[in-house]
Amino acid sequence: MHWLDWTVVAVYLFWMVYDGLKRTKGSEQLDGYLLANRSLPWWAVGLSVMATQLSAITLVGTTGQGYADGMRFVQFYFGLPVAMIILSVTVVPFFYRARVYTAYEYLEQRFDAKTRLLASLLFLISRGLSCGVIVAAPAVILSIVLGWNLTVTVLAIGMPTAVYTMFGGVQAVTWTDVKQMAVIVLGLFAAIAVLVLALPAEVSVAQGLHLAGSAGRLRTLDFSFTLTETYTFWSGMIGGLFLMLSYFGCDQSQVQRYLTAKSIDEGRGSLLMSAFVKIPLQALVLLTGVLVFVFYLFAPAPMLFNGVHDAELRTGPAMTQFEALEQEFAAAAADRRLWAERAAGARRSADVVAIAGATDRFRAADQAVTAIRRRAIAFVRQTTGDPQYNDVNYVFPMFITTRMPIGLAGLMIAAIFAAAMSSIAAELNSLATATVIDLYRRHIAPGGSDRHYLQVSRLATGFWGLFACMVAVYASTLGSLIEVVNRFGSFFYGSLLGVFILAMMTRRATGTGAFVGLIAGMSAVAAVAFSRPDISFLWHNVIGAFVVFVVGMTISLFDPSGRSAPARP
Amino acid sequence: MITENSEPTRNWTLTFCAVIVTEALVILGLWLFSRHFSY
Repeated sequence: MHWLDWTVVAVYLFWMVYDGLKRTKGSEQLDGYLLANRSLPWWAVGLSVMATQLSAITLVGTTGQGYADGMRFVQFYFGLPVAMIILSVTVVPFFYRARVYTAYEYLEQRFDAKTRLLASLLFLISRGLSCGVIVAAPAVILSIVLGWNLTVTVLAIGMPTAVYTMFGGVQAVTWTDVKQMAVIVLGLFAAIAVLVLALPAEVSVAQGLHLAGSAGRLRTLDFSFTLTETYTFWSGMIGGLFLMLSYFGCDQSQVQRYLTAKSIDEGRGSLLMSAFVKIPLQALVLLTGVLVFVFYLFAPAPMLFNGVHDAELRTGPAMTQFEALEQEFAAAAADRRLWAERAAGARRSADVVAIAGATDRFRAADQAVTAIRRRAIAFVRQTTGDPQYNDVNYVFPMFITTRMPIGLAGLMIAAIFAAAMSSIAAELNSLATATVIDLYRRHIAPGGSDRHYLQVSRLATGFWGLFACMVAVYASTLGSLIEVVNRFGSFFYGSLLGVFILAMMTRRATGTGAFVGLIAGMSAVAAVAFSRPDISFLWHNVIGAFVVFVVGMTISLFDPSGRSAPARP
Repeated sequence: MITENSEPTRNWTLTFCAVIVTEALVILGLWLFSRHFSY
């Protein structure tokens, strides 16, 4: 990258740390540090909610998915608007009136200390590890694309974020999230503008989209009802609904965002902002990936987007096989380009027969290119000993660093940093809150002063920042660890939702019922995940919540300590 | 089981309806977009 791009990235990093540290003044008490004294406007909290959800791997992975697979991933978010309405009516007023710092604190008010402790510990383990993965995933990609050392990249992402979160608390997290969201959206529009302007003069945007559509990249809706397919209308609507209810309703990294809002109405407004904006935004990210696909129809496309693997194979013992594959790819890509030009030309002349003929040939040529790329990726997995290798994640960063104009490439890299840092900051902040409120203040050192807990909160933020960076360096060398962390999250999410349903929606559920139900739900999800790995993880949330509810209610009915009514916050 | 209100909140019914209608329109728009460019 050009020095001007590096300057843009450096200015962005400096701006974030400076802006975050400016917020230290409003964070001199625990309430200010953890909840911003419940003073923030709905739009800032809403942007923070969206920035927390949009991690770097979402930005980079989703554009790659648009390139390779098309837009059907957008169905994953179809349950989100309904989930936001349900949460606005239920958890927002419940948590707000209960005057809690963490979602799990409410579980003690309603059930007992052991249910709160278990839920909080599960959150800390799962989020602590996943925070490391959220640092690791973009760090691995950026270290390869930018040619940096991995540890340096991990520190470049993790350290500035830990510093401003540690000193500025939740206010720093929220106000930097607002700016980071602006950088991400600006970067996306810049990328779309570059992609549109880079099309050959004789090919219009509509013709390019027709090519993407005929190659199956614009297929958006799949109404088939199958438990084994992750991205269908129904898995998004039902499985996605449960996932979003769990994520926004029971995960402290999101709950803490709307607890900082000025009032119940402002908290509701912040969630409903996502309900309106999230699906169109995600469609825009995927469309960017589709436009990258259209761009590479007319520009020389690399067979592999990971330059390091490409160089390794070019000089390694499998060099001859790799070069033969590459020659095959170059011929197939040239054939695809030829038929893409002819199909676009046929559309210009509006000749229906010529359009059908050229489109069929183009589609066949694209399938040939895709098949060779698939073989190349399998070849990489086999020869480099990296069975998890996913070329999709390198498509967009490679496009940015090799094809974006000077200055805009820096802006786009800054947008990837922004996506990573906004998610990490929210997670560090919530991990510190759960550590101090649910563990330290409740079990280790009750009765301390506000100032003492504030200091411990800062130290806890720093500790989780260091922990995330260490996990990131370690996780990046172990592909399977990332999968373990993601799987653990899916065991825990739906089950925790089940506990909150018991807490808020029933009068009869008891602490013991909820506690045993939570363990039963997680065990049921683990059993399904290992015995039927073909069932999509989106359905795990439905299974977990259902088992917790049924087991929890059954045990509560026989529990003599049954309470007759839920706590009224 | 929503408990009695201690802080007055505004009526959100219209906003909730607007969310559902917007989602339906967005999904319809995506379907039409996909259909238009896929043939």
